[in-house]
Amino acid sequence: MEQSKLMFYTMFHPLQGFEEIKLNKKGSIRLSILILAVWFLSAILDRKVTGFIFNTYQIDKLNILTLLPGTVVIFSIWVISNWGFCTLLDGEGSFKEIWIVSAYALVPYIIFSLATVFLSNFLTLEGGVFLTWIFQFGKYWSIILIFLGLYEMHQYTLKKTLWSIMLTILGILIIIFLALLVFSLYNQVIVFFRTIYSEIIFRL
Amino acid sequence: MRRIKIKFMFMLVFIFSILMHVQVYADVPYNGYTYDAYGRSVPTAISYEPDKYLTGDDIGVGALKSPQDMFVSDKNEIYILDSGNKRIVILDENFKVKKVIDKIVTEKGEVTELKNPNGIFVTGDKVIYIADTENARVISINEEGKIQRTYTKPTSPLFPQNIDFKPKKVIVDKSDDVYVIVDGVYQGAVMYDKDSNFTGFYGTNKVELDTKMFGEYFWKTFIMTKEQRRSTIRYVPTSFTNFFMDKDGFAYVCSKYDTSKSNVLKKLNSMGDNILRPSKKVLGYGDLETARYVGNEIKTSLIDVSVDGEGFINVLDNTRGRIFQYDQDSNLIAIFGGKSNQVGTFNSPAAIINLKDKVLVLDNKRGDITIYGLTEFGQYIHKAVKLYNDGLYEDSMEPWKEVLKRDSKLEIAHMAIGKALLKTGDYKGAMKAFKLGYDVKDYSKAYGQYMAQIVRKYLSLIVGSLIAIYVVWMVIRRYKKITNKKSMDKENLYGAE
Repeated sequence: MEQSKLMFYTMFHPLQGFEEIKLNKKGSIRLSILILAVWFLSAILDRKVTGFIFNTYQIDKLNILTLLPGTVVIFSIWVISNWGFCTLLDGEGSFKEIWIVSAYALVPYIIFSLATVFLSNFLTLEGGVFLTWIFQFGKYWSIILIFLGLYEMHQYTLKKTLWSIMLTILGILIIIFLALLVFSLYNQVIVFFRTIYSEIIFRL
Repeated sequence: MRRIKIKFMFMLVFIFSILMHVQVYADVPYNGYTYDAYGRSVPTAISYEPDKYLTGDDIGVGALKSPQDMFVSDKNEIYILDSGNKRIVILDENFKVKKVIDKIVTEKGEVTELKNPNGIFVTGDKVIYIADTENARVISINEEGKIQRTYTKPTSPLFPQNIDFKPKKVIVDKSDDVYVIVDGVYQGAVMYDKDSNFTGFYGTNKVELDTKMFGEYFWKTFIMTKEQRRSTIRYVPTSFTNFFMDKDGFAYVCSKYDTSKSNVLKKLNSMGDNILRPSKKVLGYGDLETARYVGNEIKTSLIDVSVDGEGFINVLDNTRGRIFQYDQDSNLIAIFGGKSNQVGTFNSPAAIINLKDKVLVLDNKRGDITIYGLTEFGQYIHKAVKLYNDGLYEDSMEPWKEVLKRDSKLEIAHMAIGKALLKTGDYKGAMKAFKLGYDVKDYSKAYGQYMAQIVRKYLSLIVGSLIAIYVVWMVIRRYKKITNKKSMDKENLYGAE
């Protein structure tokens, strides 16, 4: 209860809130996992519950596993990448702190995208502009929060925070690239062994 | 013994089920399908079936040899360009021979032969225009076969002089301007005035920039060597494959599969602008789903277009031998045909033309004509679309309901019913219908109206209750003031005491 109070407090007073997390270790891993779960849920709702006018997806066809990479997986990669780079760049934030801060910073984004989903059921096509505004507002709020959170966690200057975020994005790209590479290599290895197997089966 | 009996029974049931299956589908050798709003193919009832099938021998003129084009004049006479036999066969509307033009004479009286002609057009006063491809000319002849005019390669510097002049298709407008599709000319159709002077190009296809092209441009300019660059494909507009002039003088042009799928079919006005205005966002013309075969993508390639008197646009896909029919709002009405050797499918379809409500398709390898007629389902759709496009939404309800009895998921039917309901003021019903028809724009409109209706209905109530609350509040305040004053007076009274 107290932790969720801190979460909402951080939304409006980011510097004080993050300081609380950093110095007094008030952040909660459990809450951050809950936030991620809600994010994933909101992604599903976005596909399923968005009003007919604004839903561009095929409602009758949804594999929720395909929504995982866009939410939870990319979040994990973000945290890993940021932790990796900032450890090298004398950042003071631990893995746990980065995780918590990133998750807490997502709260406005999630709230506003849920609001978009809700409102989309009541607006006409002409009102769609408001939805975009609301959604964008939440997005930029979260971006600012993430920025300030990392600034606070790593005890960087503003300029260095910006640099570290750019490097983190680069790191994400590298990780995705490597993951795809490993995936395709393993795929080929599997195909290779399967071919050998079927070859032997045919000879016998 | 018993087991054998049971086995035998099972076998009988099995055989019967197969036989019955065949019985159901035996009359038409293709499946009816259509595309939904997401561009996915969904099954539907069949709207066109082959009525008749005519070879040259059936007509009585001997086998047709690789016929390339067909035309139906405004008097419903069918002109078949029998290219291999270097002749033109003219049939009346009951497919009886009216005339065969097999000798063509120049103005001076010399006999000349057609050489692999590809296109034919007939004007209202029975002048026949032929795109005589290998002879590098377009000629106009009268019914006796005498050449009236010859249109040859323009000498103008505007025309690309380095290519062979190979006219493929020809149309003529009301003022006798001649438009010719020439092989390898991507500037558009070549235009001549009635004195066979070259006047310019018509209806150019534009190259549309997309991200893929931009990426390739980047790659080409910064990464590739000069030699590599030279051997890559240049981006030029796709040239038209065929065109058709409707009775109002609008030219319908089709081109082969392009980067932008929605540009392969166009309706051009006299200025050459595309005036085909789809009611919904069009995902493309022809088959939207592509298949892969041995690494190659099998795409639709439209080779002919024909528009009937009611404005239904038929396009012929060479790849899969299918005919796609659209209405003037680019709604997909019907898909039929296919590639095989049964009646109703083709080996190598070459031309499509409308004769009243029939669709005629020419196969240039088999040398025959397949004539399609509407099924009951198709007739209802046509009737409904006609009424609907005339704006008679309420009248079109009845046929649309008949259509829905046969295919309850047909989106265009739901859309049309929604429009009718919207007009009658049944906004809730309209919303439901538009949802089933995936018509977002009209759904939004109906929803807006519905909301306005609700607000209007309860507005007096809301305003009235607000006023009532205000009045009550004022009264209470007044009363309190009075009582307060009284109590104050009392206090004063006591105070004074």
